[in-house]
Amino acid sequence: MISRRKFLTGSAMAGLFGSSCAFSSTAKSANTTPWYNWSGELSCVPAGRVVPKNEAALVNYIQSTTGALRPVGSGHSFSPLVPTDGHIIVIDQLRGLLGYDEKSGDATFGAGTMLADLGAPLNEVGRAMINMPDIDRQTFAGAISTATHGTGISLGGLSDYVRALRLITPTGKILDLDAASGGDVFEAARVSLGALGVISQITTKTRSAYRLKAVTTVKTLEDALDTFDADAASNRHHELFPFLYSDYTMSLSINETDEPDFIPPVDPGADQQFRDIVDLWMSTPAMLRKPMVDSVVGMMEPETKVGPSYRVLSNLRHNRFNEMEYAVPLRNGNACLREILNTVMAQKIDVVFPLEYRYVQGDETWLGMHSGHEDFAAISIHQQAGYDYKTYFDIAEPIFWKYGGRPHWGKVHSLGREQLTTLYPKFEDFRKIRAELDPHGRMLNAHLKKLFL
Amino acid sequence: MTEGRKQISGEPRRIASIALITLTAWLLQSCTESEVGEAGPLTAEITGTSKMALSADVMEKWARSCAQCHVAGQAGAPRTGNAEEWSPRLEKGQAMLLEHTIKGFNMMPALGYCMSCETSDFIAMIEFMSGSPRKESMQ
Repeated sequence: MISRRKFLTGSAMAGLFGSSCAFSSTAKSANTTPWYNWSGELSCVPAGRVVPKNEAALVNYIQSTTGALRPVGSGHSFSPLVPTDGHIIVIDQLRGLLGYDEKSGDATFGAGTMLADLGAPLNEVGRAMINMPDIDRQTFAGAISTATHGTGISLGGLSDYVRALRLITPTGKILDLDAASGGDVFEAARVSLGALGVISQITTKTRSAYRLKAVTTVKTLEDALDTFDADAASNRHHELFPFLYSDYTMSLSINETDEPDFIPPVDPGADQQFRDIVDLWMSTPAMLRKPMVDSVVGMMEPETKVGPSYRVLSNLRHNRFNEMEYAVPLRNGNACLREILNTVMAQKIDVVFPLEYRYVQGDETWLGMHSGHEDFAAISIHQQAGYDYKTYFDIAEPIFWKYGGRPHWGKVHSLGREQLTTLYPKFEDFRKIRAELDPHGRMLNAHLKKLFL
Repeated sequence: MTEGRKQISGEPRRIASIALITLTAWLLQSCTESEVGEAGPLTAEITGTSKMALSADVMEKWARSCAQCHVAGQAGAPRTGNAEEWSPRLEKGQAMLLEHTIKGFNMMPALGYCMSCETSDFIAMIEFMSGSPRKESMQ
């Protein structure tokens, strides 16, 4: 644990760079371990894995090689950001709290730090992340590079709170970027899809440590949507998980509290039960599920969880899925959600997973899905891993487009450069910076070529 | 390596009730502990539970990945050093376990949250957790 001290001091820099330039690297052979993403849907056989032991080793590797590269965090993206026949760079050795500035409250982490590992060290210095996404296995770099976000009409995504970062460019340059001195490159790098190089450390804004109380209830969807704007405004976090083939939705509200910890016991068999039930439901004709679901929702009691912010906001998901998420302008959120629900049920799409519906504050990043001067409604759809998701997502995606949706960079979408240029005012500016920093296209795989060339 | 399924039985209303409650728990409160364990405390906790040993490098990887579920048995994962829980998995063959580890299976995430692991690391980890040295070619 690093004690309070100025961040980015000489000692912190020296510690990060280390005294050696060691990295492990494997060459492609018949036994090369393939790469798969978390859900198992995406895969590749890379030329090899590069695991830099420290930042100096990362710089050394990039400077001493010329081949294709893709950085990998936790493999939690559902869009093909990683698959490559070049080398993948695993940044999991670049982790931990590197420094904390008492005056500003800014904290610097190794870019490979898992989100789950941000909370405890910050709490030890009396600080906390301002907001967090609901899954915590992603690396910090992977999360900001895909504009991963949490919930809250008055809260931005993780990238919105980035104050500085260090980028190792594809030509091996070390760029220390911040809002004051980094200018356009900093703004581009805050959400960069790993297309500008490899991020080695991130400085984020924090706030004083705080506690949260989460309350889950079940409501009719009509009631929940009627009061959604007011609920989103009056709760720090408020979101819905509308059930398909049902009139009901789960509702989750989270607010600050001084109450003592209360973590409801978790049934150790719950995950397997869930999977069994998904299998059962998927074997039941979709329209027959509605009376099953609706007839019992009244039996559900509100559930409460209280704890430090980082324990309440984020956790580990055991059940794997594939996901599509779009952010639509707030004014379109309600209509977009309803059209997806109605279309899916009208076409009898076979899916059990609830949707997720929430508001997120607009931000000033260039490629964040919530960037701009208005707030957004984020709508997520999921399908259990191993089941057909394409039919469902193919039907929903045009509905997102109809309402002006922007895709989450780490989730399934089918957009290319032409459409994205119309959605993001700064997209062409990003492309120019990408071309300047990566003139030979080292960081581009097939997916990124579709987006940026 | 969370293999094996139990059959659902009972009348639909009860099943649906369980489904909703479970779904809620799964969506919002799937795990009581959020932090990823570092090698130190987890290493101490499992010392002596396995007949096999790992190199320091692989142990460090294991502590940050497999240990998330294979110490406490989360998500139905067989616990490290528990021969009874590993036995039905081993019956399917170690090669199958390796394939499930790399590609993912049921609630076992592909690559088990270890992006830096090579096949040889996974083989060592399976041997370590199951307490069973390989009896067949796994590659």
